[in-house]
Amino acid sequence: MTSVPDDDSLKAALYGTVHIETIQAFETIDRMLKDYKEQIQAAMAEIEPKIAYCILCVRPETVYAKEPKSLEYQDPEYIRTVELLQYVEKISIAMDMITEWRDSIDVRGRKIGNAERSVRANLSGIVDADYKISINRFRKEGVA
Amino acid sequence: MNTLDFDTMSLFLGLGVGLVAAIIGYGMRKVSHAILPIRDPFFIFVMIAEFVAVIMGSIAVSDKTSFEFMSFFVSDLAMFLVIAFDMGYLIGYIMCRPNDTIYVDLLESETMGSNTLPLVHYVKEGVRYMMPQTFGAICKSFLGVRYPLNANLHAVANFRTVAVTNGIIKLNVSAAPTCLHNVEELSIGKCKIGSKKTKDENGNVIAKEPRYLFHFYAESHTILFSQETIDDPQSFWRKAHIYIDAVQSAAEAREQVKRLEIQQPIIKYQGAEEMVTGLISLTNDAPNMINDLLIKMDEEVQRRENINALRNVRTEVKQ
Repeated sequence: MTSVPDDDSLKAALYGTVHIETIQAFETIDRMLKDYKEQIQAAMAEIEPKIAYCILCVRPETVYAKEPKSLEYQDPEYIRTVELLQYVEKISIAMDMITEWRDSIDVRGRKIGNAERSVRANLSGIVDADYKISINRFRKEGVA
Repeated sequence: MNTLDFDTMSLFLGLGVGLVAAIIGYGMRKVSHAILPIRDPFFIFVMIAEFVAVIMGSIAVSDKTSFEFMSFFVSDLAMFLVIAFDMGYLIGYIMCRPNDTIYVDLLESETMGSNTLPLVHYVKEGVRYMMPQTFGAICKSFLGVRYPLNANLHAVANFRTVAVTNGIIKLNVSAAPTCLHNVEELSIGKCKIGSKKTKDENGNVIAKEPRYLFHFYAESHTILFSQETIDDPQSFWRKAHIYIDAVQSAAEAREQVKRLEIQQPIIKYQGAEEMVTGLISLTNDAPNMINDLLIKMDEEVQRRENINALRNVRTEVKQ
């Protein structure tokens, strides 16, 4: 009976020689996502919902404009809400962006690990058991 | 012995001898560096000479066959002149203030206490020496066996008053406190009698070691004065403030380093986060994300309602 290694060993088999840098990149991105999430929560807690709904439903372009110019924009509460919405929006986009980066890093690591596994299999003729288990353990759609 | 009979001439002669003796005593104080005249070799020599002269005079008086001229030493005039000389010498000796004495509060490592002593110092051929207040050491110093003194006496600015007693008399002296007193023994040879030669294999003299007939022991004293006596009060307090400020600065710097050590891993992420956020332009990237913000607002409103509901429940339970 084949024993199943732990997750870290399986990841090492999955990513091959880029295992360390991939894991480090994951840790950095996870930490950034956690910080972003906390920042969004803090910003959302400060927003006045009535003004925010008013801005989002009536004048959504205020949030996306570079230099919004309107009469309402003179109100400090209004300005503050717009700034907070912009801040939340920026962080949301940043979260989406680094989540995509995370996926790209994962795909890159898997491809390099796969290539190395192929070379090993061609040279020795033996299929790497750990790699097979890791593929099943960390299955991902569209990627080997 | 005849009764005392002074004429005017003897009186003036005695005054003259006393005046000359005072001048000699005044000068000898600067030479001998002995605080008390009983440790002055010249005065001791004079006293012994006077004693011997009186004994020999007495012998001459009793035995008239030998050295009759020596009977002068036991005459009234001779006694008067001797007393005048001694008194004049002592007065001149005591009057002299060569400013060569400083009272120091020396540390004693054995008793963990301090001992206040007069430190008599002088400069000979560019080197500062101390004069131990013992007859033997003073005689040795006249023979060239000197006691080197390594102390920055000019740096002493302040003194403290210390009570000194010998069991009978109590004196208050201004003493300079010290924080270090090291004594090293020196061996000084006198009366050279040739030298011991060291030769190599070819018989050439490679070293000469002098030989001396007498070997005297002297002491080299190193004295370091305490900080508060070297500085004037303003300097002392200024230095103290500098020290306190430096310690505070060091503590703050240490605290800052600790904080940076803790922040270092966080700053790395914060920098990355700011960099990523800086890449985003809302005008270009976000026009279609209005729904995202509305969903977030709905979630936030829902969260606040939940919190308010929980608060209400809690209030009701309390009531």
